[in-house]
Amino acid sequence: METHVDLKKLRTLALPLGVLGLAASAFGFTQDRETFAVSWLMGWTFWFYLSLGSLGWLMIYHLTSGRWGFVIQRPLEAASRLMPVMFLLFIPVILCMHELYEWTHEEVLATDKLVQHKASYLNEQGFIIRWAIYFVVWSFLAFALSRLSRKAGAENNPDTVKRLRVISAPGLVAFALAATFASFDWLMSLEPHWFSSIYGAVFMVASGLSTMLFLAVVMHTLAQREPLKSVITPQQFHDIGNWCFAFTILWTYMNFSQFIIIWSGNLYEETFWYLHRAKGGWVEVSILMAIFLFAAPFILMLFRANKRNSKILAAIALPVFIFRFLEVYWLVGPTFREQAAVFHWMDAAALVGIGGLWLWLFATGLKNAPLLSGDARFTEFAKGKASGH
Amino acid sequence: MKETNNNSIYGVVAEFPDGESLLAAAHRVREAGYTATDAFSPIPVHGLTEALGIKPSKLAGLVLLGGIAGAFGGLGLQYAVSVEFYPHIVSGRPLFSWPSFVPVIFEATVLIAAFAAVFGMFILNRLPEPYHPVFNTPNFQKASTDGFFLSIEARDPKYDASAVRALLEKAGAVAVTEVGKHPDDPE
Repeated sequence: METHVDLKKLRTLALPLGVLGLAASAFGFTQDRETFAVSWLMGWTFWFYLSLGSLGWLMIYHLTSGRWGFVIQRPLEAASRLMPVMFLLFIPVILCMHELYEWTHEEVLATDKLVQHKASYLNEQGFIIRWAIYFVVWSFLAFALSRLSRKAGAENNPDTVKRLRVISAPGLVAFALAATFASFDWLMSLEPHWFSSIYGAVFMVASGLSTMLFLAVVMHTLAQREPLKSVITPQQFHDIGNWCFAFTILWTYMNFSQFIIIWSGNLYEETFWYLHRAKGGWVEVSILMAIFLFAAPFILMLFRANKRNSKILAAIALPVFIFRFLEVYWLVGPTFREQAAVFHWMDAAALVGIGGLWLWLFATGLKNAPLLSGDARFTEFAKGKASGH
Repeated sequence: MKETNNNSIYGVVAEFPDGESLLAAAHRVREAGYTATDAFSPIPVHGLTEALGIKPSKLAGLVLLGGIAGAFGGLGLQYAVSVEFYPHIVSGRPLFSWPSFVPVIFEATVLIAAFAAVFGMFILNRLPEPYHPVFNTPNFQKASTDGFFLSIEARDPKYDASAVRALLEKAGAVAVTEVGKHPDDPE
C-alpha cells in the first residue's frame, strides 16, 4: 500500500476535491436539510478531531518536552491554526439546529420535563455563545503558541521555550474544559435525555488518537525529504507508534468503562442510548469498531518492528485513521437513522468537502514556517545525536 | 604452574580500557568466527549485542504467551463458575454475561503476562546462579565500575588458547587471562 503522499500533489488534489464535496453538500442542503445536517455534523467532527487533537498534543509537548515532539511540532501547529476555519465550517450546524437538536423544538420543551430542567443550559442562545467562546479559547491558544514557537525557533532562546510552557499549563486546563462542554453541546445533546460524565474525556482521547494516526502518515511523508530526512530516526516513529498504541488502548478502555457502568446500572434513562445502537445493523457497526479501531491496530502495533519502520506504521495508521469515521457515524447516526446501513451520498460529500478544504489548508499552512523548529530543545537533541547517545 | 587440562578451563577473558575498544574487539572476534562469546561492561555499549551476534531475547514471546494464557484462563474460569458449576441468575442477566467478565479477563491477562516476564527472565538468565567461572578473572569486579571485558569460552568449537590470546591482544586488550572453572584451577 502506498502511504507516502507528496505534499504538492496533496495540495493540487485536495482543493478541487474539497470544492466538489462542498458544492455537493450545498446542493444537498437545498434538497434535504435533515440529511444534510447529520452528514455535515459527522464530516465536520471527523476533521475537527485533527485540529482539536493537535492543539492538545502541542500543549502536552510544550509541558513535557519529550523527544517525540519537535519533529511533529510544525504539523501540529499547522493543524491547530485551522481552528477559525473549523469555527466557520460549524455555521451550517447552527443553521440546522432545529433538524439536529430535539431540545430546540417548542413542542418538546412544552411537554418534556427533563428538557425543561436542562433548558437553562440547553438553549439556542447559550449554544451559540458557548460555541463562540470555545473557539475563541482554542484559536487564541493555537495562534499564541504558533507565534511564540516560531520566535523560539528563530532565536534559540530558552526563555521563549519557557514562555511556551507558561501558556500551555493553564492553556491545557482551558482547552480541556472547553472540549468537554463542546462535546456535551454538539454531540451528547443529540439525545437530550442521555448523559455520561466520561463523554468529554472520550471526545478528547478520540481527537488525540485521530491526530496521532494522521501524523504517522504525515511524518512518513515528510521524512522522505530534507530537512526531516536527516533528523528523523526510527526512534521518533517508535514514539509516534507508541502514542497511537497507548491511545488506542485508552480510547477502548474509556468507551468500555462508559458501557460497563451503564450496563451494570441497567437503568432505562441511560441504557436506551446503547439499545439504539443494538439494533438495525448498529451492532454490526460496533463490532466493526471493535475489530478495526481496537483489535487490529492493537495487535499490529504490539510489535516493535511495526512501529520503528515508518512505512509499516503509516500503512497501519492510514486505514485506521479512515476507519475512525465509524466512531463518528456511531455517535451521531443512531439518533436519526433506524438502519445503520443507510450510508447517504451526502455523508461522503461532507466528509470529502470538509476534508479536502482542511487538508489543502493544512498542507499550505505547513509552508508558513521552517519544518524543523530550531528551538533549544531541538539543538539539545541534535547535540546528543552527534555525540552518539 | 599447575598442569591444566581442557575440561577445567572456562575460557579466555580479556580486559579493555573502554567501550569503543571493546566494541571493536567484539567485531573482530565475530569476524574470526567465534560464537561462544560474551561481553561485560558497566555501561550499555551501543551496538555491542549486534556485534557479538546475540539473538534477540525470547522474553517478549513468553510474555505474549503468558498474556494469551491469562486471557483465556480468566475467561474460562468465569465461564466455568458462572455457567457450568454454579449457574445463578443475577439481576435478570444471562448466565454468560460477557461484559462483566471483561475486567477480570483484563486483570488475568496482565497478571500472567507479568509473571511470565519476571519468571521468564529468571529462567532465561539461568538465575539464581551464585557461582560463575568468569568471576575468577583478575580484577573482574571492575566490570561494575570501569572495566570492559570480553570472553571466549573453551566450549567454542574454534577454541585454541594461544590463537585466542593473540587475537585479543591484537585487538587492544590490556590484560588477557585464561580462566579456570574453579578458583584454583588455572595458572
